[in-house]
Amino acid sequence: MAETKTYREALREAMVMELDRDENVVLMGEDIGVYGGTHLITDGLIDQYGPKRIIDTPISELGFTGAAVGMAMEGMRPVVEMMTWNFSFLATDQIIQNAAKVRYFSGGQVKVPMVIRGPNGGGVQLSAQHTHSMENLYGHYPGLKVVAPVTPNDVKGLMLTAIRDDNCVIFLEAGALYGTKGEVEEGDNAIPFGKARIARKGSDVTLVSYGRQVNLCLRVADTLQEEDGVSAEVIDLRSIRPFDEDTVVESVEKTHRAVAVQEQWRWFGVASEVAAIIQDRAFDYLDAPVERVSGAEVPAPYARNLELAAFPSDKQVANAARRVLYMEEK
Amino acid sequence: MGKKPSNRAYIWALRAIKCAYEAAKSAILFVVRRVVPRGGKGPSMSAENGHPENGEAQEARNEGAVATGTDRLVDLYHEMVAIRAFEEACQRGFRQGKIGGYLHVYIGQEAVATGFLQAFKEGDRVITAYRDHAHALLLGSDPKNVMAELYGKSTGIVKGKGGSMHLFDVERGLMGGYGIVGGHIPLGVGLAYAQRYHETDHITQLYLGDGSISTGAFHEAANLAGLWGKDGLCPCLFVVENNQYGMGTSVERTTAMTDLAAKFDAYGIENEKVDGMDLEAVIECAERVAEQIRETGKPYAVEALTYRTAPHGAADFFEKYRTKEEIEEWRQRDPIGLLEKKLLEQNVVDEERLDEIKSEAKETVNEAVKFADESDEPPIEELYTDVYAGADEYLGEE
Amino acid sequence: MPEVIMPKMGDAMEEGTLVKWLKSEGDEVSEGDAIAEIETDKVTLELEAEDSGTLAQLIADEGQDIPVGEAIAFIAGEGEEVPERAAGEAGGAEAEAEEGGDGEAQAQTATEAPEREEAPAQADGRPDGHFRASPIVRRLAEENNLDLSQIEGSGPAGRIVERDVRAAMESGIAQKTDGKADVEAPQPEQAQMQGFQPARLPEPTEEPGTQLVEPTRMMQVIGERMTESKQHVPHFYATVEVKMDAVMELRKQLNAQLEAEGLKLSVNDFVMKACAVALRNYPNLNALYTTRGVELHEKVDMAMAVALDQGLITPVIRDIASKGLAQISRESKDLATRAREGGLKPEEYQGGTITVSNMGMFGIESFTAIINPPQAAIVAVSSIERRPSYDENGEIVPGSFMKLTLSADHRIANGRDGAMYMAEVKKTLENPVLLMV
Repeated sequence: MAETKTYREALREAMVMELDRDENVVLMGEDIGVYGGTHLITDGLIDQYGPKRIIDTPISELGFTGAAVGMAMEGMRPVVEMMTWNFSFLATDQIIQNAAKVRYFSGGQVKVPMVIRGPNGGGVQLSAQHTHSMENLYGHYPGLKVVAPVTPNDVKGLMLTAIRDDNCVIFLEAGALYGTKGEVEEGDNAIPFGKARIARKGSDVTLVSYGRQVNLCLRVADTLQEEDGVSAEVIDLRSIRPFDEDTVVESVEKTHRAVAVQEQWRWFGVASEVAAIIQDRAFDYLDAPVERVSGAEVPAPYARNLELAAFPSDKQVANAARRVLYMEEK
Repeated sequence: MGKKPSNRAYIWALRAIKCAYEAAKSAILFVVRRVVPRGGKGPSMSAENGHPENGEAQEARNEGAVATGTDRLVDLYHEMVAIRAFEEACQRGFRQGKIGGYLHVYIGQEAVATGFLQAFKEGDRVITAYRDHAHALLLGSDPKNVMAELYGKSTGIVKGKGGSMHLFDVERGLMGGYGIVGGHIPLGVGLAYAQRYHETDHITQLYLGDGSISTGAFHEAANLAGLWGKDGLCPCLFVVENNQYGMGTSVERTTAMTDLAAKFDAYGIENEKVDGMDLEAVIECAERVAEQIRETGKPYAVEALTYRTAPHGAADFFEKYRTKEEIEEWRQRDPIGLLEKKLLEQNVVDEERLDEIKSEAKETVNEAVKFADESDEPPIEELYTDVYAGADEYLGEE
Repeated sequence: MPEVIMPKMGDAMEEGTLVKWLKSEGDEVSEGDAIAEIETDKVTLELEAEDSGTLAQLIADEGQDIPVGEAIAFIAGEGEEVPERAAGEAGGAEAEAEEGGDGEAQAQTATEAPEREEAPAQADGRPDGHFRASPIVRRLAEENNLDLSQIEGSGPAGRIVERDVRAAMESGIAQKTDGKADVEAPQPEQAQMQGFQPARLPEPTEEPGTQLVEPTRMMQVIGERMTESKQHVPHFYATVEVKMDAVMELRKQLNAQLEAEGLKLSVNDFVMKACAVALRNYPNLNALYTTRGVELHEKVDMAMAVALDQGLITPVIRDIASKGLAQISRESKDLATRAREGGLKPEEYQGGTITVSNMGMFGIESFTAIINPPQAAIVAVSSIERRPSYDENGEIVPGSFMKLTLSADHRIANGRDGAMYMAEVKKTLENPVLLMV
């Protein structure tokens, strides 16, 4: 059974399910309680679960993220909201130095079952300081898990898994898509980490992406089909760490060509990792170098036209696909 | 160089506290002598293996006895001597190249942790920074495993994965030593929240150094603690181990308002100072304050004035930032020396007994060193364990 | 002549800086004299002469970084001259080189440094004989026993991409000969040196309409040698278009006079003679690649490719440069005739130093040939095409043109050598009186 829900509703549903299922689950963050959450994800939950479980925090990302690590070490399962991921830079010491590593340097004596979640990426004219894609930053550190769902069904299923996971999970939501709708499975649809989703089947070229850019890739796949007669396969990674190498490699073994698309900057990004994995594991199947389409190497601008130019466009991705197919660009 | 006058100010402050305390002490000691047989909380460093583990002492404390009996003092003297012997062995091991990385010893500060951990009850939590050997030993971690950790061996208390700065003994309440100044403070506040969230009367002893008071982590965490404490949701005992220097920079060179206890006023956290060189003063303060926290669920901060007579780290040139005279002055107030003097004055022990205790402590440490030296290195497979909890144990492996 | 080199002054030293010359060109130096100040990453020191004589030439400039072991100067004894390679850095334009005399031209062409590394790019995008092919193409080629040299690449810079190889598989071209057949194994040391490995081959389909032909012994040997050459000799190519009117005119005149003797010179005789004469200045194209180095040959023993029904053979005209056109013509006809009859003795088709292959009689506009190892070069001769051209006054006049393509071994010669040599051949053919000299 499935029902049409918004991304926001699906996300909230997963957290409510876990609040009900496990007393140790608490939500914390700035303005998530009385105010209802900047993005209204947690609206009304404080009335239902009380301030002890729906914790309004002061504006102190470092402090409350670190406190959440302590809570998790002591058996709770905090779900921390970053009002936007851009504020998480203030908490990186806690996330990277403590949450990611404490299990290791304690010789396995403690675990840190917590989720840090919030809107990631740009697209709504928030300009330089409020537009970042964090997947490569957090994906770099052993000890963290990183997921970036794009569909309402995935955001629910992955959130259920994230809260139940015994590690610190970086949960990167497609902030620009909270209002988008999709079919969401009812009940417990927990989706395992490390499993990519084939968002569209195809045979000629593989478009690899995650988060908001998956939707772009799907549009491009339609264009390629209509205008060029090209059948593009679109892979939604969903999980950045652990990374589903097999699904990507199997697809490229079939199509022989790949384009990796990411909103973040090119250097040291996820797309580079995708390209490296493909050359490593599917080298003998490649017919063309793997292309990467990334954000422009600039801080995010404000003006709408500039912002659009700073992110991967349909045209860029379509032409990258054409290049790996040795076709004329358009 | 404003260090000397200001340090003198500290010493005056200490003396003032001491005077006030002296007045009350004889009465307290009177009670102590009658009521408490012994307050040691575990055999850890003691050679007298026949001591009760927690039971008897726990009972005594549960009765709310704020006291330091003479036998108990002898035991605690033994603990402090054992810590010092352990730290001196660490320094030797470091010089020999057996211990790598950083090494921060507790020499001169023994009375602080020894005293505060007298207020520790089973189920409580302790979290501290990187000067953490004493806390582990006092909580009952086997000195063999602690030394083996420093030696990077498989028998180390965290399997050779953390070293000196990251001692953990969760079973005994030690939630770790942490290497980033100030970084562990929010964790301690979170631990305390969880203790109340789980509706226990456990508390968290959160040790922090004077240097960490300048970090944002401290202020954000203290703010949260004060806030959550309003609802009785943060039973956290902040123990500021003010040893006067953050590495080589004295307190007055790092903050204009050098009353570190008073910093907690800003966050609505009750606070006081204690002479961290006087074991009995520390115990009195610790037990009183811990009980209050247990009862209210509100945080409390104690600034323990102490002094690190050893260098900051093993590779520290301490004459660069402090004078020989200053160190000498503090050595006069060495917590072990002070206690020794008192025990002798009161004829509780004789020189012979003290020498015995010292050689017992040395013996224990020598065994620990031997154990560490002879232990195997961690198996290479351990490289990839403990990165993740659960089924993804080996996720980090390529 | 003794050279002064940049010395190695420490185990990690790779280059040193010439700080200052302490002597000038022409100065007399004695062994032990300080001649320059050099600087390494660690020290500055004076470099002493290890020989006595005249400081003949200072190659390095002050401030220049020089790799360890490279010459920075020469010390000449009595009567010694500066070797040609020393003059290389002296500078000079290519135009001068073309006009200059033999020795000078050779010395000055060294200025074309960039060209040394890069052979002229070919239209087919395979400079140096290397293929551009995507990984899956290489895998398919190996699995299906395809010869990628026969497949045109449609990707960027001529890269062979999947669709090209699929098309080739469908049309059946580019199939390799059966490498599993009983062929003569390469010499052991050669096999080791060149890592030659037969490709994996598929079983015959044996479908109706197919015929299984066993390669002849000759085809096996040719196949093996050509495979080896194409895979292991780094080919580069240089093509010139030669205006042949002068040759044609001269040939007409000569043939008119030789008719009485029953002799008729072919265009190929002229081409072979020109190729041989031009080699005088390019000894490294008249050379063999041997186990112990490149053997330069003074005499030109020119092999000429003769097509046979079951293969081809390359009889040799010995010392061709010293022979006249008439003799060349007689010998080539004789060798070709006997080759077709199978009447050549081994010594007649072994031991050439360069090869000429002519497909002009088939109307081939241009082609590239595979080097015949161990030779350094082969010249491919195409047909003469008559077409309008401009004369000196810009008037359109009929002209006859022929393309010559050199394939040369890049291990032995560089693009510059090939280009200069082909220019020399062209010049000679366009001024055929030079052949008489």
